[in-house]
Amino acid sequence: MIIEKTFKQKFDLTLRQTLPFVTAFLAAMFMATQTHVPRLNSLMPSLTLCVVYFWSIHRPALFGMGSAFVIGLMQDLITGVPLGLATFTLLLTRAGVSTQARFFLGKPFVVHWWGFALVAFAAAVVSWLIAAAVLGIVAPVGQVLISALLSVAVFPLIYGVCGVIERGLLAEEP
Amino acid sequence: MKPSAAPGRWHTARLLFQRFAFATLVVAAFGLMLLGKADTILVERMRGVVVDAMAPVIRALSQPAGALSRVADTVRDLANLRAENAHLREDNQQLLRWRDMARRLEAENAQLQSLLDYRPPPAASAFATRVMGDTGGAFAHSLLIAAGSQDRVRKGMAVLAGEGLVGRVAQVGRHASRVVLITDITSRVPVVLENTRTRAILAGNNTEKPRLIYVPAGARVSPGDRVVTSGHAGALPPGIPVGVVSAVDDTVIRVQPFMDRDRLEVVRIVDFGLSGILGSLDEESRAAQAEALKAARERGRTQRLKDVQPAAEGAGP
Repeated sequence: MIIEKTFKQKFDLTLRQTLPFVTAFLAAMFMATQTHVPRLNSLMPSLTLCVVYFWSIHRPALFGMGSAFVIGLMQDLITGVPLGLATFTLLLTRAGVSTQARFFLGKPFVVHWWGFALVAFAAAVVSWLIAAAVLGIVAPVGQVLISALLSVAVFPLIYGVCGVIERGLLAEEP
Repeated sequence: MKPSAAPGRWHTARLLFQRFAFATLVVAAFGLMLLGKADTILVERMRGVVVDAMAPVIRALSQPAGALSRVADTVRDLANLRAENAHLREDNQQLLRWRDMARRLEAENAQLQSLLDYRPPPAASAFATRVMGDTGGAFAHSLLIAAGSQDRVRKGMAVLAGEGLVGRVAQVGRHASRVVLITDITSRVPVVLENTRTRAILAGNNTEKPRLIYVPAGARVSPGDRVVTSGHAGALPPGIPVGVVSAVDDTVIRVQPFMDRDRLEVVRIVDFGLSGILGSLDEESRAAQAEALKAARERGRTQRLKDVQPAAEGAGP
């Protein structure tokens, strides 16, 4: 009986620990769906960037660089963008933001939002530069910036969802 | 001593990885970029496998948005019912006149074809499938469709919607495929302006309005001109509607495609039996092309050889 309970606990713990990865995975999948909203699909906000930003601050131990790499690779493969583009951007975001996690923790939401705005525009610039310089694809600058702006606009929603998951399901974790 | 050595090494390796994880993964990301440029076949296969595996998840996530869109369409249709009815009556009158003309022209065409002993090209086979995803954002324009190699979808097939050309199949999985839209930055479609027969290339630029490039100097292009496929390069048959010229200035000619990307739910995959410059990369096709080349050489028909050669070269990676 005791062994069974321990196994259940371990299983439950493992499931909970995969939640940050699962949310990022679902965000990547959602970015590939057809929204039927005029022009939204060509200006799709980077939901994965929002999720990676959140977990890099709140649970960096549960969302490592390997996770960022895998989610980015999956996004590249599914969305048909040049291979390595989202992989590199998400990896850079995970590495950069987690170094500033102490600064953000305990700060009001507005500070997180401002921080994300900086990250979103930096990611847009880096993506555009890599696409142009390494891959030879000169994407329309306006669309890349509007997409970053939309990412900033949807950030509160993603922050809220991830916050609920963190408080409700990961609260007991170290 | 020995039993503890292995975990010790494992621990050290893990520590080393953690220390150099960022650098290693950055190098791996750049490696992926280079791989994407160097080995397109491998990357296409990887994309096919991943899209296939993730298709059920994407389809499930698309359901709510699809349902909401249908409700919004219904409400919009109900609101516009009266105006649309009047519009349809007008259209019907006009179409009846067109029908009479089409019948007359069809009879005349059949008569002329029999006089000239004209051999029409083989009929195209087509089937419809659902759009299950719209991907790419600002860096790529593509669709995911719910049909793959098991439905006999092949790379290079044309994808049409009711209004006109949507794009071409770029990657094929077993149950799902990716379609590169004509608005994608990598898309190049040989076209002609329907009235003036001016040739050009429709070049996608990741915006809603692709551009016409390689327009001959002195060609007269004006807004409202219809753009259709030219059939050059052998990838698409001539005459498929693509769009209308929406803006012309000194440097850029923009085209408004007929397809409405945001409302695409069902598309037609059409096999015109043309491999085009893309060619099919499977072994069977390569073997067939090599055999055709060999046969042409044996017969010594130099003219025939020139026709086959570009197709065989186009199939290379």
